[in-house]
Amino acid sequence: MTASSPPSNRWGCEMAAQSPFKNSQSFAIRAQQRNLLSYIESFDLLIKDARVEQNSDSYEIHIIDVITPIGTEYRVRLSNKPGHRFNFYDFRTQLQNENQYTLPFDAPSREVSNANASHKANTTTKHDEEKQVGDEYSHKHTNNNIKNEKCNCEAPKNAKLILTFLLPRKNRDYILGDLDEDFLHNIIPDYGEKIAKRWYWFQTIRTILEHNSLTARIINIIDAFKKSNGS
Amino acid sequence: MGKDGYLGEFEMKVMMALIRLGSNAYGMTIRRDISERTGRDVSIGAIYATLDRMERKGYVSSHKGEATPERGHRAKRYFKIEAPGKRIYADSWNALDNMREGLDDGLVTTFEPVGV
Repeated sequence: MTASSPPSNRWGCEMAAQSPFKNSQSFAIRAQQRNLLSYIESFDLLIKDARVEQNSDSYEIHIIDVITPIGTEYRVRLSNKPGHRFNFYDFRTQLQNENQYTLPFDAPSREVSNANASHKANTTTKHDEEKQVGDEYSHKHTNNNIKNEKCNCEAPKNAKLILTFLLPRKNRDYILGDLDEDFLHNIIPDYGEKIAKRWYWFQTIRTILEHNSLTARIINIIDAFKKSNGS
Repeated sequence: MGKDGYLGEFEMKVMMALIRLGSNAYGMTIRRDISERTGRDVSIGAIYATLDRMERKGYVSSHKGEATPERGHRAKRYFKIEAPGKRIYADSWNALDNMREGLDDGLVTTFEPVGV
């Protein structure tokens, strides 16, 4: 379970630096992990940190949850083999749930750390094996269902207001439209309303800071202010 | 080559996204493409700032698209690479290739797909 090779380390570092809404990777593992995080969202876990370790036959994703008071760390093993089996471990209690789960999950509950839980579904059956074949499809299918759910959520009004006032007229409507579309179509279905709103605020602040013409405008205002004070 | 002879790293990423997305290249899709492929969240403001800069240089052009209800009836702004953009993209790519030529640094490794 070492991650000694440079690419693995590099990837691991990137993962560790990521916030919950920056969890995508440019590898095939991406889709699985995204879905995994979506699933965890449904259990009201919030990912504080995640890092990846590459083994000879699998990848392991370490996920630290911040909603539970102590911060439970789950370790998820993604096998190279089809079926995407993985295990859950609770680092806090040092108890392992040896059950292997397959995507789109046979629901390891929040009590994965409970030793009794290890008896819940201790071996994969033939039925499970067959089920794995359709995992990829059903995974997508499940996600589509989530995506098709109608949501009445609205982007934070104050953030919109700030953007409306501070963005240059040329790009204002385009940026607001893009953010709204991304918020409703991608971020909410993937991460839920709470994180989506945080994401919107994050985008607002970064857009204000990174939009060159706006930064230039702010600098001009500061310069003008300095000049007026100096004269 | 002059000061603007090559594209910067982020400009290259934006160009690649434009090429990949083709006629569906607008702010949101470009942002998502870059975020998903690089694993780093990119602000929409940075995308527009880069595209505006490249448009001023004549590398890309834009046109107003349709407005949809999920966008609050706001129009999209589609982007397209122009001939000077294609040229400078090729030049930048060649420059990188030339620099990499003969290097065996062991830093570039392809990940095998997992579970697919």
